[in-house]
Amino acid sequence: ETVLRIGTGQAAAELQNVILQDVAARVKERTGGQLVLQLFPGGQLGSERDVHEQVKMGAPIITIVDSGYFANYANKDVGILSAPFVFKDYEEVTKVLKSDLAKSWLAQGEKNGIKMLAFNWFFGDRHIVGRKGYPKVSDLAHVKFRLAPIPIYIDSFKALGVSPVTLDFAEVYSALQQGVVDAAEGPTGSIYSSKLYEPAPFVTKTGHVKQVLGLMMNKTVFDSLPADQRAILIEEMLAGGERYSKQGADRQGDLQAQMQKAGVTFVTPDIEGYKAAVLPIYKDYKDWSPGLLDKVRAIVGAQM
Amino acid sequence: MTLLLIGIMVLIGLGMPIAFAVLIPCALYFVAAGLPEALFAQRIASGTASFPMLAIPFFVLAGEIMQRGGIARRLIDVARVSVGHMRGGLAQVGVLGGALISAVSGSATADTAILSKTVSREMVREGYPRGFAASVAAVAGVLGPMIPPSIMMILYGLMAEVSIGRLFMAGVVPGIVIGIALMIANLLVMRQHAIEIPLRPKATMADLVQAVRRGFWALMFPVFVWVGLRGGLFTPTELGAFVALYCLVVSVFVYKELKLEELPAIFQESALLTAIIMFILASSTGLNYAIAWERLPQTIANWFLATSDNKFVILMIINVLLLLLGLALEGPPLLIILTPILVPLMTGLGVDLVHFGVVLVFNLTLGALTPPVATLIFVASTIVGCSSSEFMRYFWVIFGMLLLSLLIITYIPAISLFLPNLIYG
Amino acid sequence: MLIKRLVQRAENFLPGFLLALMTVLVIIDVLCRYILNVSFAGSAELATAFFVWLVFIGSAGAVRKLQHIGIEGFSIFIPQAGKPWLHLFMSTAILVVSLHMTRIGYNLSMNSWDREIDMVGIPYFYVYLAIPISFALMAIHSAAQIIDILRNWQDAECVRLKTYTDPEV
Ligand code: NA
Ligand code: NA
Repeated sequence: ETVLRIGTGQAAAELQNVILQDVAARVKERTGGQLVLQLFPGGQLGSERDVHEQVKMGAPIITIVDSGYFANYANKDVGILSAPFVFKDYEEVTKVLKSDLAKSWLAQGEKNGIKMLAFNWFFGDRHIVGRKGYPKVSDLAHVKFRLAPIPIYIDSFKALGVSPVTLDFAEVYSALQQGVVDAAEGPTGSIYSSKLYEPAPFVTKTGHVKQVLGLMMNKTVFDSLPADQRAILIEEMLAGGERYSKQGADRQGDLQAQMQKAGVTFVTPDIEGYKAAVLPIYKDYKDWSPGLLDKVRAIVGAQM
Repeated sequence: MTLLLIGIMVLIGLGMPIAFAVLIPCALYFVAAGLPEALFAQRIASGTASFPMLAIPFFVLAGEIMQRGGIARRLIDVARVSVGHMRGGLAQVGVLGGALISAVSGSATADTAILSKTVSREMVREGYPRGFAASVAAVAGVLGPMIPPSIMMILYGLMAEVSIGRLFMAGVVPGIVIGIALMIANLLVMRQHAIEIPLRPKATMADLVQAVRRGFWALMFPVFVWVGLRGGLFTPTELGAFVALYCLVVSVFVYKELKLEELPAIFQESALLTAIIMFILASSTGLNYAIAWERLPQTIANWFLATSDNKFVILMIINVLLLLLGLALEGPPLLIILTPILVPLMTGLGVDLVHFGVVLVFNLTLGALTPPVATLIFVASTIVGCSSSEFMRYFWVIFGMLLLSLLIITYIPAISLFLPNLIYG
Repeated sequence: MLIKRLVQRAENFLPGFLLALMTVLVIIDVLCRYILNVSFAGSAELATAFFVWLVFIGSAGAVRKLQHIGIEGFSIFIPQAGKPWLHLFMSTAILVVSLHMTRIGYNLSMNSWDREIDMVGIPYFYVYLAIPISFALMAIHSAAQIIDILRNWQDAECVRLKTYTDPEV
């Protein structure tokens, strides 16, 4: 029997770990117990970045990776998948993921020793949570805004006029409470579980990032598995991704309803205005190959 | 896995520096397990490459400045005018002084060293037995990790993913309970050994006012910590940096007992001490990976759950096991090894992780008082200059009171949780 | 000899200097956040990188000065004649593991050119480099100690086994 360990950063009870347990059970059953997946949630194997690195070194580990980090192992262009305000919905993202462009990215990843088993785990939309609603871009001028230390987030939100503050996520609640920052952004799940809506009862539904995760492992380790196990592993990871995305979307709706009941106001913003302010910075974005944005928009078939 | 743990114990027993006693068997384990070579190096590096860990050097630095800059002495003066006239006067000053110093410093060893050099030496001059004087300083050190700030609580909070602010607040009331237990213990020792020391005169109101005024900036310190954390002004790491700055400004510009020329030496010594602590921690990160890789926590949890599924029984078994482990190991190394093993078990049993943190930290601190490996005893008896048999004569009664406090803190969670729940809701 | 002096100087000076730098960095970051309303993205990451260097270079110095914490344990039962062997064993084990760490630490750093310190844009290579350099220093120090033990076999002091002593006593 072969044992592969799955390392994730989120707590054991989170949806992605529940689904991964389920995937592990199915894989074990379908391979007659020959391929065993053991789940190590909650950063037991190290921080997300550390575990990515371990995969690259050749450890027998599967890990979950955000498109932004996968960019480091494949092609910097992958980063466009997590660039704020590029995509309208997951259909658009899916179109790109199924395109030849994305296939070339995955091929580059494999050349660098990283095999993406499934790149269809949709994490959910990111929105703005603040002490006020921000329907128009002009409302964000000089707002003290907490951002994760990710260059493309900082660049795009600067284009919206905010004063970015990089604080540890654990400190965001009290920072909002004290007015150290006026707003932050994040996925619905985090806004709910960290109770950010208590000090900041306005959620502006920008949905600026349609976050997509993938499951990656070392190419050499992957190739060392028998062909049937490889096929089963990929099938089950893709199927798991579909369940994850579906249940995640349902959950987002539930969470919004619960927050509304708790008195949170949901604001629908002028999303075209937001896009008009941000997209120009991607024209010749420093990390990407020239003309990437146009190429992606062409795949999606949408107007700028 | 078993071989790995035995290897570590044997090397420690042989007198190998603890960091290497952990590092060497772990390096062998990683090679034997066929893991990528660079992975082990990555684990060792990542044990230190985390911003919240920076709280440790900052609190070490603050402690170093406090020792040299007159803050500690002023706090002891306040204790002296408050409880010095009671029966067992100076011994009680040791306890209260220990509590006040603990509110500035982050570690037990530093507190005991300060108390040994000040209160214990004074006790000997006044006619107390040396063993008693050393015992007072050694045991008062356990208040250090309980009363915030606390390096042990930071370590636990980081590994168990529990709010460090909550943990800090959770240590306050247990710290007071322990302080009261120690004061009662002093009276018991005085009676048991028929120690007769003439009572000191009660300090006048004027003395009290003067001591408090002279120590004002030092006494303001806990207020500063409180406001900083409660107000969310700083993260615990940033708080550490400001605590160091505060101690520095007070020592140099207000008390004028520290010269700026002494700063390079202070930074050097703090950095060296930090490196020594963190190197053990870095090695243990490799061990933690091996423990997780082999799913040891699950195995241990199953073993415990097979014994009993009553959390009170399991807590008792764990306390006893920890005390036994504490004979040979202590403090940070044990905390680092055990937290990842025990926290999943506690979560499964429904034990509050903040409460468990307080129990774990207190229990492991007691390890520094149990021979053969007992840092606090070494420090106190070396500085005071007494033999271990002399020390033990007075020590056992006091240690018994500490065990009683451990029981109370383990089985009445409200003692720990009352304050954090009041503050953080 | 000049190199030896330089290494010793660096081991003594660098950790303290880095600690001062980290303190200043964190304090300035907080002050800027409240007073100037801007935050330096990357200052926390940079301070963390300094910390890695502080810990490992400081540990190398502590190997040279035999300051790492250990316990007496059951070594007190080992007869006098056995003690030089015990010291030899410990120094050799430290030498071997340090050489191993130097090698795998070097591999780690060479593999980390493409991982950057968040928001600073400096390759992680420069963070991880602390490992091979510090362990190489530890290897050199423990080799020197082995030579020392072999030269003074009879009266090899129980240097490793000394317990806490307060300098003021
Ligand atoms: Na303390
Ligand atoms: Na002990």
